[in-house]
Amino acid sequence: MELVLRATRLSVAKHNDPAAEAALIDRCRKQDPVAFGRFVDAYQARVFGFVRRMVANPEEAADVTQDVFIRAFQHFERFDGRSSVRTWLFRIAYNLCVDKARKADRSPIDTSLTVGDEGEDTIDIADSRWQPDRLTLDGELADVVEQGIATMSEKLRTVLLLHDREDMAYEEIAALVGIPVGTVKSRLFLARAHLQNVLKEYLSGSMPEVQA
Amino acid sequence: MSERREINLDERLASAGQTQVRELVKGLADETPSMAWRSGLNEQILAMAAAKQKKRNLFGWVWKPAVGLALAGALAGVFLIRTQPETRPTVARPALEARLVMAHQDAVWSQDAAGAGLSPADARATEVQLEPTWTEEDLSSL
Repeated sequence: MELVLRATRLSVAKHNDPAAEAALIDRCRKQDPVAFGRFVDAYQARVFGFVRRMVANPEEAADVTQDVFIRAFQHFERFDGRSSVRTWLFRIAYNLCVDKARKADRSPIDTSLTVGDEGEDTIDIADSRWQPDRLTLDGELADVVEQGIATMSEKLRTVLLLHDREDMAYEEIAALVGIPVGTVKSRLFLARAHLQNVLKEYLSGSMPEVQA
Repeated sequence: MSERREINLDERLASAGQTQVRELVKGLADETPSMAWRSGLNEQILAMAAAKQKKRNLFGWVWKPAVGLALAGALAGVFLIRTQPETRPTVARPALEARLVMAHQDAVWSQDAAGAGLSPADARATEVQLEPTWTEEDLSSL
């Protein structure tokens, strides 16, 4: 099966200048709406992407994402700099997503939390043009991965998204979620193994039609 | 988690299969929220900022004048206390003071001599002459 992949990768705006970011954060602490607008510009796509994959309903995901930034604006003066502002923001997002999931009584498919022997072999994705460091997934493969993420438990999904999409360190994730570093690694391994199984099923043709 | 098991897990997380899945997840497209979403958020942020500014202004209107008045009053009080002279007041007319003292003493003496009710003027009118008016001839006639 030949998969067509886009050659471009969507990049996320990141503050590369620490001094400029520090000045922006300082103004946000004083609840400067203009400065906070720039802060939202920098993080809205990433936060929305995280929340959208944590909360099933797209409309609810939009509402939760708004709530994340509203809370951040209200409580920015309490941000003390002990963690990065990104960690602080995603902690707000994670807590709101967990609250939403509890209210919705969402029951994802339970995945065994025991690390087994699976999950280390590569999957033969038949596209020689796929260069992982440059390409964005598109089309069916992206849908398969998204579905795989949606069907794993909230515990595995959280760690997978924070580590593999947000490039957070194990220690950051451990502090954010409130679990040991070893548990972060175990959950990450299991989350990836789950996705591998989903992809294998899809590529072998045994997976039901992907719902976009 | 034991150190050996953790090292084993680190190695497995770095395996080719795990790395491949990581790249697949990283390659998923980002989604930017809609303009309507952003517009709604901006409105809420501006409303909160305006409400906070209103509170600050109210605080300024009420408390700043009160604090100013209190400070002014405190300064005035300090100034008044410090400018009061510490020397005893001087008497402008000593003669008058002496006459007043004499009048008081007369009153006390007259009370001692004749009891209450007798004014100093009466006491002076009936004062006992200190110099005798009789002579030795008066004595021989007795």
